[in-house]
Amino acid sequence: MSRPILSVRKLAVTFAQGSGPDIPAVEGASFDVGAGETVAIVGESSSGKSVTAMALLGLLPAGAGTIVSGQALFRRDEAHEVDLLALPEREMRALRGRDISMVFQDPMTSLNPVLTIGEQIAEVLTTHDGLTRRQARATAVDLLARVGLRDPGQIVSHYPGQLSGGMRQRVMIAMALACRPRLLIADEPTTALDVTVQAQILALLRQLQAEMGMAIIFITHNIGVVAQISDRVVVMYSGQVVENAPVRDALDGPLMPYSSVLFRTVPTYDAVLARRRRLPTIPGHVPDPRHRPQGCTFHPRCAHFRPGVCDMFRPSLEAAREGHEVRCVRWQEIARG
Amino acid sequence: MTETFVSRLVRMVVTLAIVSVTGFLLLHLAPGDPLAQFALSPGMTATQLGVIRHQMGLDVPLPLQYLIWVKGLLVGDWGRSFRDHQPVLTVIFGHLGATLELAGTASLLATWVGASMGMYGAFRQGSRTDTLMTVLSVVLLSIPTFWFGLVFISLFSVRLGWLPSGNIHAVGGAFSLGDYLRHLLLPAVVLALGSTAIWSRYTRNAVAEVLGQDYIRTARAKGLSPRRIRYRHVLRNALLPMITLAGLQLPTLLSGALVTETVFTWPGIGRLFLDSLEYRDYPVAMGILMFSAVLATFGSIVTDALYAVADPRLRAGRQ
Repeated sequence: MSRPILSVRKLAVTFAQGSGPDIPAVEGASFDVGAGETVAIVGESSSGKSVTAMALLGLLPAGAGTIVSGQALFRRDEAHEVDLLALPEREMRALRGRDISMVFQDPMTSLNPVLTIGEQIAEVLTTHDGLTRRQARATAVDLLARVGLRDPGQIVSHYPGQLSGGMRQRVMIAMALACRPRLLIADEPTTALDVTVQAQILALLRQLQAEMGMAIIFITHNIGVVAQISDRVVVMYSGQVVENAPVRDALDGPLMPYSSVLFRTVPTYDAVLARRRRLPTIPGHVPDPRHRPQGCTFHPRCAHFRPGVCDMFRPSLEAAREGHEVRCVRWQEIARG
Repeated sequence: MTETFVSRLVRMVVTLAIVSVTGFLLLHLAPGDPLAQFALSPGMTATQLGVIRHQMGLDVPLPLQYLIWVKGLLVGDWGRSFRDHQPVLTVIFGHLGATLELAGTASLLATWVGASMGMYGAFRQGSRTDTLMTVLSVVLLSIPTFWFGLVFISLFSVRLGWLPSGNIHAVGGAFSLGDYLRHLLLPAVVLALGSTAIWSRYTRNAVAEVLGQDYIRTARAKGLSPRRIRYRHVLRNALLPMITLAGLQLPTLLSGALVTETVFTWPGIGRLFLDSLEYRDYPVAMGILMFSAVLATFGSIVTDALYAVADPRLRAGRQ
């Protein structure tokens, strides 16, 4: 892989509360995103995947309560590299929506209900590319056509309430790609949509990526989607990256016990049809971030738990082989069987 | 749309009918007699009083009096004042200007100051200024208008001598704008106080709610300037509940004017109403009552219309 366009090192996000213990939402997350690559970040709710995305764009609620540390080097162009976590707000704003943009989960609430679709797309272009309003509107029509909306000339003057969920998500994508960003962060972009629409949106993202060449960070808890869209998978569990591998390696031979059981929770057609196996579930819950277990945070739920080892030592992320990292003390024993 | 408009119209008529019956009954049930002023005149005989009573239309049974009054109302004859025999509408319009000037100024003041306070508080939630404004609003809302009126007069007019304590312009002097504004300032501020507090609380909540919406996060993710996010994304949405408040504040301002005009001897509708009650001037009192009722119901209709203009979701529903 060539030099990554985004290199996240030891990202940590803590929400300090006035009363009560601090909440470490993300603990030392590190991963790279190559140019034009799609990296899926998967994990259950409260695993820290959305917080990671928000931290990268500097969108976490400002204030004394939020403490972000670490480094996230982003290559703006061939010559310039910036640390997203240290960038002044003013420069960060110039970068948001232009070099890195974001698509959110719920297209029903993510568009402003009182502004037309055209206005909402055009303002990105007038803000970042210095287009006139007239030019921006014309470009907005082109963009709407590009994301596969029929009658783009009509839709620019529609309000979000007049469009379906799938159409709105296409609008969100058009808006995010308006300035041809190098990196698109998609935070569960298909979760709120019907299954058939989900497939269309995924196909659209892949098609646009092929045309425009942007890298994508795809945040999801849907493992089925991971296989379809990503080149690399980053598995997060209770605020930590527990496995990071090329998608084929990860799905075929996950090394971390959490990843392997997570990937097996996906129903496959054959298995469901044959009713031969019940879908495995992971016993227990994701630990409360305020009271994470000693040692490996997954040990209370792990089938390979060994007392005196897993609950004593906090494993670090180690390279199992080239490009494949795992956070488990016992991965070698487990792999040997 | 036409259906809601018709039902709205019907509701308006029913409301007005209830207001008129209640008002009419209350006025006539209250002790006192419009003829009291004539009865004390020297040399007034019972026969003469009877003639006056007949001229005023007070010698027929109450229900009939009501019907005669309603019939007049429908053909545009609101009756004549018992006091100076002027047509009621002429009397009302003669005093309307002063009230509109006072209430208009107060409402502009309250909206501007209150909405600014609310926005400031919402953008800096939890700050010391925000807390201070919350406390201030509660204080303003808890103290009645007349108290502020009296305190302001005693402070600014009596003790400091900065501003006149009443009337619309200096007695005997020629009209000048400066003089008029000096007279307007105190009553307008006093009338605005309560409204300002309401506007401030309401705006703060409306803006705070919009700030938590997903589409504001989207706007930030687009890299828009804070200024653009505030004015274009936040305020456009917060405006909707504020329009409702504007409609609700209209009658409140009129009733507030009643007190303020009395305290500051401002020659508007509010004072005219109190005077007409004192003199048992039924036609004028009923006229003002109906006039305010029409204004209030009309306000809510205008509010709804404005709402449809401001909110594309409602417009879309109608297409």
